[in-house]
Amino acid sequence: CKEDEMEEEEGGAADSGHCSEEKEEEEEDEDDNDDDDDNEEEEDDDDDGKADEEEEQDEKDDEEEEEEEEDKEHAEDSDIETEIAAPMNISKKVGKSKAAMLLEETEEDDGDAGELGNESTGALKWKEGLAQKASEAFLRHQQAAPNLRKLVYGSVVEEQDSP
Amino acid sequence: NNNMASQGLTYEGCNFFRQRLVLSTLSGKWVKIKNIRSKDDNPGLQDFEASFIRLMDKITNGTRIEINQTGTVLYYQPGLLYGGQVEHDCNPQRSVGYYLEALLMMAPFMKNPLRAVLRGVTNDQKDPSVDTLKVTAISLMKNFGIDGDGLELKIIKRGMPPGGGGEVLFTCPVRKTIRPVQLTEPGKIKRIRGTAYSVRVSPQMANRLVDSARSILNKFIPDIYIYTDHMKGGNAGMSPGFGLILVAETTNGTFLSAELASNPQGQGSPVLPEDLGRNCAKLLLEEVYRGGCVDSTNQSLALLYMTLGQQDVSKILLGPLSPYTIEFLRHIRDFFQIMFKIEVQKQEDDSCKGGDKVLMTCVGAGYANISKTLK
Repeated sequence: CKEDEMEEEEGGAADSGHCSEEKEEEEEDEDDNDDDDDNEEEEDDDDDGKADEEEEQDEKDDEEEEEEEEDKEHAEDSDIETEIAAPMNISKKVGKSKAAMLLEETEEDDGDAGELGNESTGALKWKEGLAQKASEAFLRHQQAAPNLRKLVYGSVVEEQDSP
Repeated sequence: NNNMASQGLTYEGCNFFRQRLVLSTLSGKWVKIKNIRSKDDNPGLQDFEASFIRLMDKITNGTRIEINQTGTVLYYQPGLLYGGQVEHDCNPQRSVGYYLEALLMMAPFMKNPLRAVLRGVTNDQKDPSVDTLKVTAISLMKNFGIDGDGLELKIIKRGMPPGGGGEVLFTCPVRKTIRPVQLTEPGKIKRIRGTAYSVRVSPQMANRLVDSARSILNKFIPDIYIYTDHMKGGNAGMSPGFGLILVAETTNGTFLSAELASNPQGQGSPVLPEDLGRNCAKLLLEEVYRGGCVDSTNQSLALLYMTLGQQDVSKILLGPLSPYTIEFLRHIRDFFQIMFKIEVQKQEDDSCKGGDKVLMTCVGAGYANISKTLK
């Protein structure tokens, strides 16, 4: 259903083939955002997007547009990812030869992969011992809120209630 | 304490005297109270308590009361709640509100509709004044299905301590059963009403009270009206005094009240009406902070009606429980074997709904007014 809508839009704005491609990228990214659970998948797809960019870097006008697009996408993502993406954008704006760019990008990609790996383990840490944390929070809350029933009726109530 | 719970109960000390007699009368269980001020310089029952027992005797039929020589031991075996026409001279040590609170609890369960004329002090510093009960308790009773033309509380004459000399008329219809309630949404404050009264002092006192109370309340809500009530001559009682009652009404029909009265003549230093007005306004703000669907003076009345309701779940949201209410809950357990579910509802800091609230839930005892005559 969603794909159909997107296709219609493409048909409407089919002035240049490039624009439609961008939209396809967007589509991909959006789909990725839907399943937030898997961090690594998202990262992979980001890389793919970058690869696409490199192919089209001859058209400089479009490149700027793309960068803007990318900035937006990254702004939507978490802070961590924008930090990682920032140096990449700067390198592009400097505007070096295609080969040099490719080299740099690959280097950066490697670096990114390492960093992101660390980040993902860090991000997963909050998932450890969730049940235990929940039970602790519950007990803490229970102790913070006075048991008024006990205060009013005394401990006898507890014995009567338990069976 | 509960050895003979099926027939009667034994207590010690003079505290919560009214609660015990009222619940005893409603439940039909006898009550024995020992050691009433047994170590006091002035031992035994005091005059206002004796007056209360006489009132209980007037509204019931067949009540047996035994008091020992010194008045330190009371045995009370309740009779039938009869009602009808009652006149009573309340002891001026306590105000009419002291006696009226008990009547409010029992009036719907009588054989005949109650029509009580109470004489004495209408406004003092200890007990809820008749003006407060008129607004808060009467509107609360309507929630429980006790309403109609027969429900009225009227101040005929005002009387201030120490002299007294006021007169109050209270009429209440009878009900076979009490309707269960679900009062869990207090709503927002929509208006503030009040009464500034003065007797045997300059009528200007009431205006000064209104101005000073408004100086605080005007910042919060535009809809404020404080009536001035200056009674003269025969309607003004024996002693001079003045005071202020403020009531905040919410969009859901909850009434939250605050009141203050001047020091009785010859006791304590004279009070400036400006101070009294401002302090009373602050007390009202405090009461609004506590919140709930019933104000703190009427908590026990609401809980009693819930207990005596049909066998159905009643829920009510209260502000922090008052010490009197907590003891009342214990007495309800003793007399009716009904325990409430008490849940604290924490308030978030930004919710602007005041302090923590308590949700009280119970299943009614299915109390039916068997003495009510069928027509």
